[in-house]
Amino acid sequence: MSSRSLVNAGLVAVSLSSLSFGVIACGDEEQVAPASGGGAPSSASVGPTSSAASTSTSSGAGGEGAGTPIRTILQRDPFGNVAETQNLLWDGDFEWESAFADQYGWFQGQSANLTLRHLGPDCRSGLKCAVLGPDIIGLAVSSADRGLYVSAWIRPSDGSCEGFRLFLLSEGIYSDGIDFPIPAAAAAPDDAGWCHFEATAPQRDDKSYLFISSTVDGEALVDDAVVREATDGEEQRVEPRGAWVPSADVIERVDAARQTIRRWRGPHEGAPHPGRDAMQRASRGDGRVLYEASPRTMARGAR
Amino acid sequence: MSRTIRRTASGRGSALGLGLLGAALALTATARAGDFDESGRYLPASGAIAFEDFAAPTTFVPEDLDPACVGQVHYVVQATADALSGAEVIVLDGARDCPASFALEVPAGDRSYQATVWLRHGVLNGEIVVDYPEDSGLQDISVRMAPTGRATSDGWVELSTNSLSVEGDLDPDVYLRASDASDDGRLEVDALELVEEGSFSLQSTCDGLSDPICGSEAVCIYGMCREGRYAVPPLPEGELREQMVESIRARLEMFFGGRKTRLEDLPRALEELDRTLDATTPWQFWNGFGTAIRRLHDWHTSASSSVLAVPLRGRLNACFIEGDADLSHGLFPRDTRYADILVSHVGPDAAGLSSGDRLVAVDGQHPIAWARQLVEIDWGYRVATDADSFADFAEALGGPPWAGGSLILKYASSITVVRCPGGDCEPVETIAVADLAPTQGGADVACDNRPSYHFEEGGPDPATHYVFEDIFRGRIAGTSQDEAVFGMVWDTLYGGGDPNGQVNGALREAVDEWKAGARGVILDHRAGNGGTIDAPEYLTQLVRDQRDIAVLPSGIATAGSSAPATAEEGIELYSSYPTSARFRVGASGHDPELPVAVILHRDGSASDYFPFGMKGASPNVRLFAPHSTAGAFSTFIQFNYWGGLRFQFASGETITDEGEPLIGQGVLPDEIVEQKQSDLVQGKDSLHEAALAWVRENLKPAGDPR
Repeated sequence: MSSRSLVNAGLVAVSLSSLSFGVIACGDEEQVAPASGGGAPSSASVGPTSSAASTSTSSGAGGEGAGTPIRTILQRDPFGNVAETQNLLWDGDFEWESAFADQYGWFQGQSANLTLRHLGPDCRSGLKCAVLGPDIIGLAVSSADRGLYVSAWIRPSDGSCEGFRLFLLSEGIYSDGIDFPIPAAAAAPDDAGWCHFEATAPQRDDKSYLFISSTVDGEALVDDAVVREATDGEEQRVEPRGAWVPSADVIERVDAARQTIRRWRGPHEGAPHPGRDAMQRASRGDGRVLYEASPRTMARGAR
Repeated sequence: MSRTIRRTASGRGSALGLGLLGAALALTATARAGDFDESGRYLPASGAIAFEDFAAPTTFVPEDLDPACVGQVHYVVQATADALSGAEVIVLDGARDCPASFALEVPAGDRSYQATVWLRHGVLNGEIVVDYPEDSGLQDISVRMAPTGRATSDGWVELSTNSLSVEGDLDPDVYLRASDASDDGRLEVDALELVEEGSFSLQSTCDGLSDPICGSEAVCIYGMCREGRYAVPPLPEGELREQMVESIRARLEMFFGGRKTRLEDLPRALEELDRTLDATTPWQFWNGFGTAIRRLHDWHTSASSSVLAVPLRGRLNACFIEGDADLSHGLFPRDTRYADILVSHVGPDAAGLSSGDRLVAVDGQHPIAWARQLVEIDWGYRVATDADSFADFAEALGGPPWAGGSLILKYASSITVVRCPGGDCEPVETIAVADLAPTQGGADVACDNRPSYHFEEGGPDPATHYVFEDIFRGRIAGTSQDEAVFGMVWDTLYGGGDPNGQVNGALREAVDEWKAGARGVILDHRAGNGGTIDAPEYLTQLVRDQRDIAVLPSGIATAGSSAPATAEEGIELYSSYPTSARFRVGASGHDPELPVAVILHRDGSASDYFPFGMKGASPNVRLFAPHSTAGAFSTFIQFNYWGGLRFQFASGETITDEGEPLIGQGVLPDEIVEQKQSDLVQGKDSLHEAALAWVRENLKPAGDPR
């Protein structure tokens, strides 16, 4: 219960230039709807639209009378690509990612969580995706019986699919799985700006990790990664990759990824967390506790 | 005794019966948030109750705002041509601890609403707060927001609440509390809207979980029915729900657990999960999902939501502990399965309880039995993986909610106690939880399973028991300089891979000092919160030679695989792993003559590995505890969704060098010692007394430093 204190905020005008977020595109498997009542094409997919910032600048703040809608309406699955129910990655679509996690289904650099992330419909599926800066490593399991079909999507900033290195790593007991490269399906992105990487790797008993690395400058989005049991047809297309020789730089980065994987074996809870600690401090001491602390505060370290 | 609260604007209340409540619930409105015109500009719904386009937003300063945030402004109104609505948006600057609040006007009358808001370039922690005047008798509500899936090509994403009930006649303050969870100062927010939607429901008081007044869509927490839908995302509909359930089912089948939990607990969880397919409300679906996770029965496995983020009622500033009520079995017999529950220590507002008093029942059941049945409702539910360890429940009965406690205050109607002042026990007494009002102020006591501390000087504050991430060391009280018995009290094993970090550095320093100058050591780790595997490895270097005793895989390797069924298979698997995956204990420079007593009570994860590495290290190491540790020998992965919905679950199995899978097999003490009621009433700590006596009998010869 509060005493009222209403304040009319002042208006602060800011240049549009700081707001531009570039061209937005969407994945090709989710529903796209035109702006209602406007007669926009009800296409099943939408290519790159004109920059929202530039369009709205030319049509004025209200956009009235503009011939082209300043935006298109999309319907995203807020839980990501759950249609891929048998994904062997813990969270291939990044929808359950949070900066507050102690350990998550993706590592980035030496962290047990992503350090760069993105929210928006420009992710290929769902609303969250990863941002490549430091390399990322997706935690997966293998199949005891079948090869593994691997698929991932990357949206580069330079229009080329050639600067990325993807491998299905194997790490664990048997060393029976080679570091299997996942090539780009094409040298250039699709109309929505995404590069598709896919391959089918032979069966392995060791634990699998999807390693994704960029060799070019500029951030790139990663989304909708899938590792699943290969179908019969996909298994027949398995190509031998053993003769492939990675560059020294890639070898070094893969080795670093293995070190990260080994570093984070076993549990690791209770890491110091400034936000959590602040809440604990605020909740202790004299006076009554008014609210339950966030569940994050109730991590083991707080007990 | 329950009633529905209905207050007039003047603050005078009256109670309504269930019949009238039912009538109120029948009033249903359906509307939809706004939509886009042909130019792509967002327009509020024609029937919108309130709409904020942020041209000149009305901010609101809640009374409970952190004083450090008062006067701070963490947003700007920004003119932009691609605002979703109008010409302005607000941009939050990333200050997570000081949320911005924006007011919404609601009309008089009892109505149900849905709120929506749009964001881009970041993650918004958004909730709608309904803040009633203090004299209304109603409690404030907070309703979390989650994505609807609606988005725009220029990056806007819609968030929505489930329906929320507002008694407009009471003139509440309704506002969006918004904080930037992305932390980079680019988050834009626009088009905050309120439409009528759903069925209005009155706030009701309730008397514990057994009170039926809350119905199936609310939970009685702190004496009020809390609408479950306020704390969870919308109900996934149709095919999406089927895919969600199948996807989660597959995750559990592929990744979850070790041998014990996959065989015994996973099937129960999957049955529960399948029931969510028939859910018709958000709460049915998400609480079913949470219950499924909780039924996995694992110390590393939990689900949490904001349903517990509600105003506290009352105070029971006491900590409970398992023990032996040897003074009062004549008044109330010991349960055949569970240990007695005793008062460990108290602060002000402890219902007059003192150390050594006994809690014999909660709502007529043994306190542990009562706490275990909360699996279907408690989003703070914590359970040991070992089926015979119940210390988490006992610890959570009392203590503050901010440390995961207060189960009694949250969910119970009554407690039954036996007071034993000075050792003379009085007749059994029942106390209504509703009567546990705060009267004295003062600090909350934390529950760490330690009735008292035993350092000659220093140590944790006995008035608060706040150990947390600190490590306390010193000479044990009541021992002589010549005896040189030292001790350590600590709960964290978070080494984090840094040999010189705060925890590992302190542990390594302690090991060196004890080897150099101690004749006996007592390691008091009775609230072992876990951490990382390196910290227990360092501690074992005090007592044993180097050896690999187990392997710790990084979770399950192949989908759905279980640990080996036989010791032979286990040894083969153990031998297959590279040394990098092994739990390596000990060091060549250890001290085999130094007696080291380890006191345990509620210990899990890295705090399982620690006693596992200590046990049997030498005849000079002995574990003292009332029962086994949690048996959480695995890693885990966390999943975080919008609005505070989170879950995590364990994956993988630890295999010993003898081929034994460890999940669910907590470390058994060498000496089973329970807290005696007769000791507690005299200020004695039974476990410490036993440990100290053993150390004294086995002191390292004097003048033999390592």
